[in-house]
Amino acid sequence: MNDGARDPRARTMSARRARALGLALLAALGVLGAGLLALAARAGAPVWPAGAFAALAVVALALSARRPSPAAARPLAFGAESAILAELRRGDLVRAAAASRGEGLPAELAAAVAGATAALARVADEVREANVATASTADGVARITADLASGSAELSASVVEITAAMEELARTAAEIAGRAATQAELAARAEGRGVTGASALADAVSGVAEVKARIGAIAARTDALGARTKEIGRVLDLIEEIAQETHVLSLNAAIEAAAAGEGGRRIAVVAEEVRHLASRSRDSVASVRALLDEFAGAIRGTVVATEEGSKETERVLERARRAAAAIGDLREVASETAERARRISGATREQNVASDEVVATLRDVGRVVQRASQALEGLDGTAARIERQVLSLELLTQGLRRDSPRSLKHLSEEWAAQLRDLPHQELQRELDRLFAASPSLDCAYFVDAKGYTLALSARRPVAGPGLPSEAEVLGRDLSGRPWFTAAARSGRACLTSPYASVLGGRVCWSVAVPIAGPDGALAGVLGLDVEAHGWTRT
Amino acid sequence: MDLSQSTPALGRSHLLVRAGEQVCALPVAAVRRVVRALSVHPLPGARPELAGLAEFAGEALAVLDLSRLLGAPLGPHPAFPVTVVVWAGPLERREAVGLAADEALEVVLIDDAAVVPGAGFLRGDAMVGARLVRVLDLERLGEDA
Repeated sequence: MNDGARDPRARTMSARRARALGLALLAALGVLGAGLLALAARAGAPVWPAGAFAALAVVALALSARRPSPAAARPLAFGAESAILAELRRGDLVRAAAASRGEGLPAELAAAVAGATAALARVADEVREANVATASTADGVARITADLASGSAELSASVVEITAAMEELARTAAEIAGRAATQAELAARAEGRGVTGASALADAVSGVAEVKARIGAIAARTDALGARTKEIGRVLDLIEEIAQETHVLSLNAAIEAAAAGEGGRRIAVVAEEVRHLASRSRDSVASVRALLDEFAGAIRGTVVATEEGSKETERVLERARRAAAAIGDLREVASETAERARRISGATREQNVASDEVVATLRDVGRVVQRASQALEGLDGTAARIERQVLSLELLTQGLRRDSPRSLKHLSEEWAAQLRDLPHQELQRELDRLFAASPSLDCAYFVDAKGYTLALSARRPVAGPGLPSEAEVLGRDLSGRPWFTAAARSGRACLTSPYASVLGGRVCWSVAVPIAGPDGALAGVLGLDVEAHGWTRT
Repeated sequence: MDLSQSTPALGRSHLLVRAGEQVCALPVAAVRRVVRALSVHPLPGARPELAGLAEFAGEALAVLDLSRLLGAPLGPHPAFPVTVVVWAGPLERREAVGLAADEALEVVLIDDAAVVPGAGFLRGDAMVGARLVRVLDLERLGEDA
């Protein structure tokens, strides 16, 4: 181009058009920057991209405010200018940059436009990167929130369960305490009765011992009586012997008196009297001896009876002592039982108090968990809002086609160029190859001009409950889908709003690009789907 | 009671002693003394009725077992056995002999007419009161021996 060859009218026109271009760029940047700023403010994303836009706006303002000078006044190709503006309006930075390099645009303006579009593309890339990071963070927050909510629900259920168990425990403890108190009372009563019984038994033992002592005294006296009886017997023996001797003497006297004849008659009478006396003495001794024998028999019976009585009292005493020992043991056991029951009762009451405290604490914990759950619900809502906003920002950045593998519009254009001239039988293989190299995509498809699917590649199985199979999708007319109509109408790569995919029913958004045939008519549409919950995948 | 030996109307005095289950009557005229049973020393080879020798008044005295002599069955255990020292044998050569009896009872009069005659030194049997009494003739005691 030769600036000096142009006439002043042409230069004036060029300057006016440059100002108009600057104003248009300024307006476009202003719209984009305001959108980004608003999204950044809502999503909490950094606001520096807005600053970059401001810098670009300054460049645009300089362009528009530039005064016309002879050196700068260049004729401007009207077609190129309108092409740049049109591409910028459509958000196609690649084609805008290409148009700026075309014929008819001053070198400075071309460089400025190229620099501005490159800067805008970088800003968009960086915004997208930041947006991905924000989305990942929001996703992490959502997952953590979901985990916390799940844990909180489990914790709440556990708290309710533990509270119920503790209340049951408290009721059981109260019951145990009551029973232990009753047992303690019974044991104390048994102990009291044991004391009474032991005292009564001790009295009985004492009485039996007294009886035994008295029986012993009776036995001793009976022995003494027996000894005296033997002495009496010996005296009786002596008396009887004397009586016998007297009897013999009286007989001898009678014999002598008989020998003396008449002179001994009186002696014979005396001797006979003496013999009678001796005989009566013997009879009396016999009577006394008989009585004494009876007496001795009675004494022997008494001795035997006292011995048996003494043995019996000894047996009774022994049994009573054993009973006293048993009662003593029983008392000790009853006392120990009462003490243990009292301890159990006390411990159970303390346990009851502790259980009540635990139940109260658990109720507090339950309320805290409930508040935490409510807070988590709020956090979950916030995370969902952030996810929606970062998705909006992603759609905004994807609206700009830029020379980057992250730009789906650019990617679809490149794929379309590769698939455009392939025979139908090779379409599927090539689409699979391209799809395999792009993990960020969830589905890619190629449909003919009537909307019938020619090739389909999907990240996940297509069919599901109530959803069409892959074969059904391949045979279906998809010309009514939003991506098809948008691509067919615009004639270039276009971006849809999120919608429910026919492939699995999941929410996704698409970039579709029309493919023109050799005659320029619509030959097909290439569509790329990204699921709303998977777009951050790289 | 008339104790005279020479009163035919009333009979002669006799000393009644028990020997086993029998009661014997010894004429008082032949009785020297009644004493508590003397300690007897048996004589080896002697006849059964000779109980042995005893000491009486400083002299040896042959003692005869009256129960064995009469062949009387054993009676109650004697509470106060006695030895009756009598003159045995004919009057002119009589000897003191001890008769071991179970008991000395009393002195009674036995009428000779009431005596049913016996044989040898057993003069006969007589009833004294309600008891049957065997009356001995001590003068003929040595004859059988």
